[in-house]
Amino acid sequence: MSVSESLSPITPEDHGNAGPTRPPASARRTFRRIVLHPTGGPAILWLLLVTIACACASLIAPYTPNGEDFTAILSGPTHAHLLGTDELGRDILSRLLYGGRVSLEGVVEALVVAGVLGLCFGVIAGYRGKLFDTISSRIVEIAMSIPAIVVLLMVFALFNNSETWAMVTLGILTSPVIFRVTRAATLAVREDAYLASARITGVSELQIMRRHVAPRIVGPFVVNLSVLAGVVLGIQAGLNYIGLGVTPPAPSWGGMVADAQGYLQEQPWLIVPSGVVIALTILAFVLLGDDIRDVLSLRTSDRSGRGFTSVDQPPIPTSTEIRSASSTPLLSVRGLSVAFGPKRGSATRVVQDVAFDIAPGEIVGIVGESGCGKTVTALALLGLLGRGGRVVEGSCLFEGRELFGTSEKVWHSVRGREIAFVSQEPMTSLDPCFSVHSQIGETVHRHEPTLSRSEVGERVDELLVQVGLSDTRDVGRRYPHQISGGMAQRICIAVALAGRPKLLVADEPTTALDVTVQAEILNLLRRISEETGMAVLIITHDLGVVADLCRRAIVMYAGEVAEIGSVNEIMTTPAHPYTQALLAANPIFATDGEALPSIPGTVTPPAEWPVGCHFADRCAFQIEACLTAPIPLLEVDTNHYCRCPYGPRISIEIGRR
Amino acid sequence: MTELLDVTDLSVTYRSGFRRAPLRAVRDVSLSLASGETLAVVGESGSGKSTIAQAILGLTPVSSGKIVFQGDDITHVRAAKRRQFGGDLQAVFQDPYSSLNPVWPVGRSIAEPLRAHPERVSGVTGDLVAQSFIDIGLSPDARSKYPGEFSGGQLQRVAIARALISSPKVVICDEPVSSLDVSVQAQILNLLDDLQRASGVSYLFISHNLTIVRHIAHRILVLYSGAVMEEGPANEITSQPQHPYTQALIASVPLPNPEVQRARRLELLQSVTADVAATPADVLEVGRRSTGSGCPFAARCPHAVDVCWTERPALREGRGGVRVACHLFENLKPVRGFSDSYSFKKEK
Repeated sequence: MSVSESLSPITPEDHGNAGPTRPPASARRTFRRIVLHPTGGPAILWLLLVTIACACASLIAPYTPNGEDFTAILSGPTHAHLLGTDELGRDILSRLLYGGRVSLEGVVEALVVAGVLGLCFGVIAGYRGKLFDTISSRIVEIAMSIPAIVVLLMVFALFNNSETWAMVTLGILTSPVIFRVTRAATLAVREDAYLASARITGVSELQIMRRHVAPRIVGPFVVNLSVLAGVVLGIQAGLNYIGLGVTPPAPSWGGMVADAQGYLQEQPWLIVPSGVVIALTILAFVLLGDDIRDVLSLRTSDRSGRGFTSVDQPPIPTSTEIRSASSTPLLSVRGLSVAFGPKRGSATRVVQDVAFDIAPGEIVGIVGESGCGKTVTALALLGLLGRGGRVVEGSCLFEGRELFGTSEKVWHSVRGREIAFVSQEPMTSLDPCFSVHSQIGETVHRHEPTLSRSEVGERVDELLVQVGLSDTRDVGRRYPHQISGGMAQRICIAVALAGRPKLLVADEPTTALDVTVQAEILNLLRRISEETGMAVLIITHDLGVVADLCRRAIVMYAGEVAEIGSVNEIMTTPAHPYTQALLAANPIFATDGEALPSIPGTVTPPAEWPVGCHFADRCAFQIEACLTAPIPLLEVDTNHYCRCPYGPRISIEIGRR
Repeated sequence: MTELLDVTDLSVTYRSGFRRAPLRAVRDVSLSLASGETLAVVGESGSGKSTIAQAILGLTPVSSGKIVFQGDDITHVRAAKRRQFGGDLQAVFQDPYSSLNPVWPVGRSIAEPLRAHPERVSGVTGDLVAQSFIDIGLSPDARSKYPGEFSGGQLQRVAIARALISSPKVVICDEPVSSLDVSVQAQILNLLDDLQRASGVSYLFISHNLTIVRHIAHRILVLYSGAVMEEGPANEITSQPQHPYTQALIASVPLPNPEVQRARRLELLQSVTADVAATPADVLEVGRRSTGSGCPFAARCPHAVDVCWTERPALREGRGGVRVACHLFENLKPVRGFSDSYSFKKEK
């Protein structure tokens, strides 16, 4: 048996301790949460009770551990012997209390050794890295492959059946668990920029360790130590059970189980007290570890959970009916509202009253800052909102067919074949285990299962040429790690084209790419749309991308459509103050020596949306009417809509200045 | 004018395993930064711009070359000695969320440079911290809040306050606004500008975004594959780029006006970029394979001739005080930079 193998370390990721958004650590609050936890409280209570009782054994034990009472042998619980007596008439309760000392001392010894060794080496290996890390990691791997029981038997033989030395050895043998956890936690912290900042400032390495690194690894360290305590107690009891460490008649929990086993027929009760105490104590250690982890991860999720608390949200405005720009739109979205959250009552709307059309072959852009609901809108069109998110209102007609409220089976037939999707991160969209050719081939096969192997190959080559990768043999053989980001995005587009979709939804397809590569991808999308008549809905935060690629644009702000119009109108005569401000903030329009016109504040999070205009608190033209009632989307011009009744007038005012 | 920071022939080489050739992340880059000046280092991913910042900050070992800061050679200075000038050289990084210790109240993070350099503290630390919150447009009460309670833009302000509280001479800004939204980005750029006017601090501003750099920098250094392609006054470089790579970079930036953008796109298609996808190399691969004998940009350059492959071009004087590393730049057709194409603003 190898002790360490049976333990899988709880990595820091498990409780998100290394995450960047962790809210403040308040040791007292964390402790209170652990105590109030449904299982953590009893676990702590039990451990405290056992520890204090065993420590005060000589004061509270009714008998001496080896005091034999031949009048009451194997008595079972009686008034004189609360937990009964064993085969020599010794009081079980007293033996449990005295025997617990050995067990708990052993656990503490092993934990101290494992903790100190694991922590020191783990932190140094994680922080220093390089040679020390390589060597200590190899040593740990070797240590983990050594069967612990064999080593322990040798130690008992060498050190005259010494419990202490055995526990120290056990500590050394289990220290790899702690080593790996602290090393991983340190590695995660090491990359954070604030360590670099501290180092640049001249804060000494020791100080950095103490102030910045140590607090971040305490969590995973404590959690794993607690779980390890349970394991060590189990092993320790096992050793005592086979008569090692504690020589009878000295009491020990494991030894008492062994004694009881011999008289199982005569007095079955005998095994209950020692067995239950061992089981409960191990359980308490393990539960405590789990609870610390739960509480720490609760702390991590505090921030993300905050958005879902609001119940009362302002009403949705009723907007002007948007008239279709084309007589037969490919996609027609009306009154779309999306909510996230656990239940209908407490869900938070993150997108509301979104309406737009896409004509066949048209390229439309959704533009806005992060947190404006662009991506959520796109995912809703693909039925991909995922857990917790759902369309609460609205309709989405694709070629006249309603998509919202249909079954997953319908969505399955629509996705890829009618509406395809390209994501922001091309690299993570590709499976690193498969070559480019086989990944595209798989998608082709899914859409056209009747094709033969060679026909699929031809179709893959055709798709690769279509996305501008003319050396199809070379590219097809490559694996994702052998291609550049731009090439990966081309391949993702090829995968999307495999089902011959009528609409391609591209979520920030060029944001992760360099500007020269971005220009190529934009040209590619334009060319494919022209060649195949495929419509494109591109989501971006860059007005330049919209100007380059799109015919019409949808400007979104805080979950709502702020303005819809032709790109020309949006860029040259923007009606909504937000569109105007967004354009003005672009440094390309800056005048030398003058400050950039910035928008004060940040986007209002969904839970705090006001009754009136969502942009009002950041708007330079705010008046009282903006705050009192929801603002509907209004028609400014033919096919030009704006969610601000004063926008067009403001636009003229600015133009005059 | 005495130079605050002087980098001469800096090279940084990363070894990448036994079989593969070492990656020359930075090759023979020289730059200098004067007091109160902003020098922008521009390039795409893999161009080595962040490596230069790391080398100056002592976060990555320098293979060859020299870094002189305030007259002292700091090329190989150990961490313990950095303490002496640590207060004069500070940094702001790209990710505001990882720039501050999440378990510290932000006030404590801001005060950290002061605690490391008590000799620089003129007055009460608490007052200085409070004042720095006012400087960055936040309430001094915010000091007891934790990073998790701020937005990305606010955190970046705090990171800037932290970098500036010890009154440094030079702040290295490594993509400080790349992760921020346009409206917030403008706030941060204005803040950096205001603080420079007030304190005379110099910025080494690392970015991939030419429109931002054009606005904030006095001088620009264009990097490709670890080598300097073009260097000179910001206005000159962005309005009349002379190096084919700078031309390609500027022509590739989409501008928010469909008319202007259509014209620029046609120009881009006709002239500058070679189709990168047709050549299998991305920037990193070029850097790996290139032996340093030719021009690093030759593989992507539409104008490349034989000499570009065999001889590495030196930086030579071009128009308007710009220095260009190209064998052919005098004979290239001039390309519209930003100044011509953004004139639509005035038409409006």
